[in-house]
Amino acid sequence: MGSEQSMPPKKQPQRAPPVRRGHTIATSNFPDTRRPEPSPSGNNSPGASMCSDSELPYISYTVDRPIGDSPKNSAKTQRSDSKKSLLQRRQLSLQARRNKRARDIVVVKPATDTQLDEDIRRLQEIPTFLPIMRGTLGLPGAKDPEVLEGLDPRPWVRMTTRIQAHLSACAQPLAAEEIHLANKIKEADSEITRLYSTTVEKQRCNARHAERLSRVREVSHQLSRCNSLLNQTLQDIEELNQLLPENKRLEPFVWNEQKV
Amino acid sequence: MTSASSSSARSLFAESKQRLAERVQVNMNNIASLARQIQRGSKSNELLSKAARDFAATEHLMEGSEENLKKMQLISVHMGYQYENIHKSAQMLTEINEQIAMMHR
Repeated sequence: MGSEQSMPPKKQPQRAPPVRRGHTIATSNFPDTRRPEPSPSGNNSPGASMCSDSELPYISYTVDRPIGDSPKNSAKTQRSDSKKSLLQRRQLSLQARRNKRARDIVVVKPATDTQLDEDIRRLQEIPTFLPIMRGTLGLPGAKDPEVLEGLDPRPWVRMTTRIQAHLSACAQPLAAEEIHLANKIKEADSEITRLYSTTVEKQRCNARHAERLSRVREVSHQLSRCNSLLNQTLQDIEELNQLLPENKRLEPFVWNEQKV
Repeated sequence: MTSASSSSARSLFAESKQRLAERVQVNMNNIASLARQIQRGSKSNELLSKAARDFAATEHLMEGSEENLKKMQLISVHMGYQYENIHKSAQMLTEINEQIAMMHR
């Protein structure tokens, strides 16, 4: 909250390395393995993203200068465990610390001026908000209160049923029309097959009649030839009859009128 | 201890993020099941696919019909020829009848 995590200058001679945000080491036993550049600005509120994993400040203080349980001491025993258990242990240790020492708040230095400090003022200006997942607030917290609170399902239900009805109303006439068309096609096909069979029959009859008529034509040709021959024979008979004597003449040839 | 602190710092929000991701996944699954319910409930898919299948089944019938129609066209041409023949034969028949009547006399 301040530019220095420990305010009073009287503590400075106890620490050899200079105070640096996020990298202060309480004891000088452990070497400084990482020293990136300090933030150039004097703004000490934790960065733009609250969830950045990279440089979470003040971790070292909870690890190295704990008020209650040190996660470092318990981490030494269970360092092989997963990170999740480490987080749970941290939360538990924080809670245990809070529960045990709720009365023993260690005041490093009492606040001099609560209103003038810039960080305190900024913190007070932050509006009250709740995390996204209520479950992380407190264990007996609300179990999905948003389902009970704000969301009314009735408009959703109405809209979705309407969409469903619209889809079915569009699909049913279409399907009916298509099936109707298919039936008509089947009818047309059966009709065509029937007509085709009829036409084939008619064509066969026609062929028979045409052949018979052509035969008749030939017969008539022969008949005309026969008639001409008959005429010629009659003439010849007349001639021969004239040549014969009177008593041997035949009767004049009379064509027996027969109804043909 | 900065290395240990940074590694623990990296895992600080992992569980929260995982829980958030689970909730988001649950919401997405719900939305997807809602969409599927809309589509299945309206039975539009079944109706339309059934109609399309019926239509496709008539295609075989249509092939047969087309073939029959082509044959019928050929047959009609043949029948035209035969009609001409029969016509001419009928005319000739009447002429020949007259000729025979003439010959009889």
